Amino acid sequence: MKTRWQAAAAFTTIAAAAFGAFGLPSASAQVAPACLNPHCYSIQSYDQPNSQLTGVFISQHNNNMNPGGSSAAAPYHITSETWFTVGNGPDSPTNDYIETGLLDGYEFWSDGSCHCGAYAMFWADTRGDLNTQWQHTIANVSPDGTTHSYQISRGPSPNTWYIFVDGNRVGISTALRSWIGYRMDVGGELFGPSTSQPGSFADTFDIYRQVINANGAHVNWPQESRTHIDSGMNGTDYGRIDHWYWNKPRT
Amino acid sequence: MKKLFMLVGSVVAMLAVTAISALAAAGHSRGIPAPAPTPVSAASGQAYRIAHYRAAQDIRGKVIPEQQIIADARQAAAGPGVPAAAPTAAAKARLMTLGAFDRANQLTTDPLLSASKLVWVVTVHAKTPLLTRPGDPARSANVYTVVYDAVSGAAIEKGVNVNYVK
Repeated sequence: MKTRWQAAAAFTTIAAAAFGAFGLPSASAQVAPACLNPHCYSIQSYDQPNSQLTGVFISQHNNNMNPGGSSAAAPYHITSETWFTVGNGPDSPTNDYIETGLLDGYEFWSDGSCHCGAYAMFWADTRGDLNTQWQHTIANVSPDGTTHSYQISRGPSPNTWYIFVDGNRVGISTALRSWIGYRMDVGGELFGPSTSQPGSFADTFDIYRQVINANGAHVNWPQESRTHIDSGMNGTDYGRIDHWYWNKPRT
Repeated sequence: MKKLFMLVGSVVAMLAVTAISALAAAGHSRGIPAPAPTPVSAASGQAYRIAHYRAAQDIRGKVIPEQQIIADARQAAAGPGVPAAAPTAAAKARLMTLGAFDRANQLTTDPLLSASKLVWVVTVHAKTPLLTRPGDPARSANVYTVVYDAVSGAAIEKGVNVNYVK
């Protein structure tokens, strides 16, 4: 007899296979007209100002994705990740935020001297008012299909945040100005000339997502606050508030 | 026979789509049980991380030459919208322990790494981008500092707008 988890896993497997075969819906009433100069997204977001969010959680598998033709002279990247904005808002470029997930691109995660594009688990914290950012390697991995969880949650002392992967602490953020959070974004990002960049693609990511409330409990979003899907990328929650499915068709 | 296979295939596909739609709708209203919150156990996750992170492995050997690590660090300028730094970009390197660097920058060392690990710290004066949050404008800085495992060359961390080695 299948357990509840096995039933859910079976659903996920069937759904992922079907989405791969038939493609995700690419449009909704909230579709954005163009990439955000030139960062392109397929994301869903949840805002809860003054909510005292104390963390975010996602799980996803190391899936195939490529930004297409990335090089030292033209470094592009593609990510599947979560961004957690701390403080109380309102939204501003000076907000502090922490992000974690998977990245494929020509950046410092290329494991030393290979001078190449690389696929990595990473986390980074950004102090918006100072324009400073610390980027950290978690591991130099590959799209091997393994599933991993990522969590950002309140740390042991004010304004500190733990970062966990698979339940293991991989870092502590000590650079930010707040111990509460109010916004979670989750999904994929492509940085490139456009979503028609030759060779760029992402197979369907099935991201499971939750926030952590003031009591430290993992809970579903009551509902999404925003959906942003740039032309050339796909995304949907398929009516499941705890999931975001996204992909980027091969060009 | 070929037509029969095509017919059966079509029916299976239609049933799959219908089932998925029904499950999705049910999940929205009644709550399909979520996948396990930690798909990989902590123990296997830790083993996976060590196997895929050379800085976490006990790699022994010679320290990478200073000029080579500076060349690597100039490449690390690259990111969204910004190419690698020119070979002439001003850069300075310092050999030190990871713990000493992290303490000096109010960072907490990755629990998987030893504070006594020898690292190359390289500061490069060149444009480099920040990873941005959805909706924010592109941002960059004109200096950064990269920390590498001094033996394996694995990149450990990078501070954007951080001028450490002067």
